[in-house]
Amino acid sequence: MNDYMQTGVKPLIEAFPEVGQVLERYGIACVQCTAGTCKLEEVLQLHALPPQDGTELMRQIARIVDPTGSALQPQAPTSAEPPRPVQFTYSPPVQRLVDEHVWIVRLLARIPDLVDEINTSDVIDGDLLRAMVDFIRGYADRFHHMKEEDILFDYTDRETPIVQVILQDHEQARGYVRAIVGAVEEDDGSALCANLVRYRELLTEHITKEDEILYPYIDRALTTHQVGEMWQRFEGAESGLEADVPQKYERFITNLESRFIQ
Amino acid sequence: MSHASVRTACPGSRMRDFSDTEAQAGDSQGTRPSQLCQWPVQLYLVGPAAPYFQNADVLLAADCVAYSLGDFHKDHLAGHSLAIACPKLGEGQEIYREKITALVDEAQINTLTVMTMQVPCCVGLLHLAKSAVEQAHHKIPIKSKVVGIRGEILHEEWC
Repeated sequence: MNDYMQTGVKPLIEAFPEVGQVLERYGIACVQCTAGTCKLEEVLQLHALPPQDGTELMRQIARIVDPTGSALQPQAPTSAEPPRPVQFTYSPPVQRLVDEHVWIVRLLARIPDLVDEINTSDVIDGDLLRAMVDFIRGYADRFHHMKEEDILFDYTDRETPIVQVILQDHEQARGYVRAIVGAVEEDDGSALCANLVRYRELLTEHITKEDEILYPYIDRALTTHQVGEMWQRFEGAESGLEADVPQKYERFITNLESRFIQ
Repeated sequence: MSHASVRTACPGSRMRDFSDTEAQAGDSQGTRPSQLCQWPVQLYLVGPAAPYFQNADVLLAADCVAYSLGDFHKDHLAGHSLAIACPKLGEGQEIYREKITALVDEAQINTLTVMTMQVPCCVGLLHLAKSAVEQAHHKIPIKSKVVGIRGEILHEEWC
């Protein structure tokens, strides 16, 4: 009966679409997830529902997967971690990563304006796009993703499906940025707009996954000592960058917004 | 006690008696070893150069905290170096502030956990710690734990 706990959640939803609806009711968006490599058991551990919610969710899934109820009632996986508090507060180093997302989201918010401008004027502002790529590579990738890949992920199992999905997202985003650079060089507005939109869609979903699932999952397991250690490693990593990072990238976003927001 | 004196009484000093309530259930079997790894413990007396503060996770506890919590050593002191102080009765608050700043900058402590009682005057210790860390060149994470007078953890969060 508990076999489906070890089943990939995507195949399970394909076989029983109502399972996806049940998960959505509990704020678990496996239906929309692009990867879906997690097992159902891992999904429940990642989201750390309060025990009574986890038990009720399992009961509802069991009614769908095994309507005759012929087997044993499934048990929600137990976790050594405490249940998630009603309002989750990130530890200071993880909060730092969440705050950095805000600047990236502000860039993503202006991409539709940029695409409209390219489509209506049929002119590619190469300087602006090169500055945007510099932000993506210098801030989103080097300043932010570097801390995730080189430091944060040391505090969890890198083979966990959610971490693998995040790393794949980083690679896919780098691919879109290469395509954006190529489109600018070739003055190909159509390819440029398509890749800007793809980058925006990918990063929007990626940031939600990190803020709502991955970061709380890692944060809950950190000891006080690890929080301090991670903070110092972040400080050390940033001290190796140019002195005007991140301020110059924050200025770029402010200027970008003033260009498009009247 | 006059009506006026009730209104002006300090909530932190107000008398409460819970001796007639049943003792909370718990495992009282066996003995538990002390988790204290240093001496002295008074913030006024500790020295930031002490080896047990170097890169340590430091617990700054209000004086009353350890008396309120049944398992202070096991659940909170273990793994930490300790300093204790009273934000209400302790004299020389500026000395406290300078000492905490020195713990951050000279001992390069890893984290600072501030445990206070729920009574309003005790929050001063957290404010003192935050301002001391702000004055420091080095920055570290600060965690706040608030303890109820019945020995329960009411609130715990990173600042």
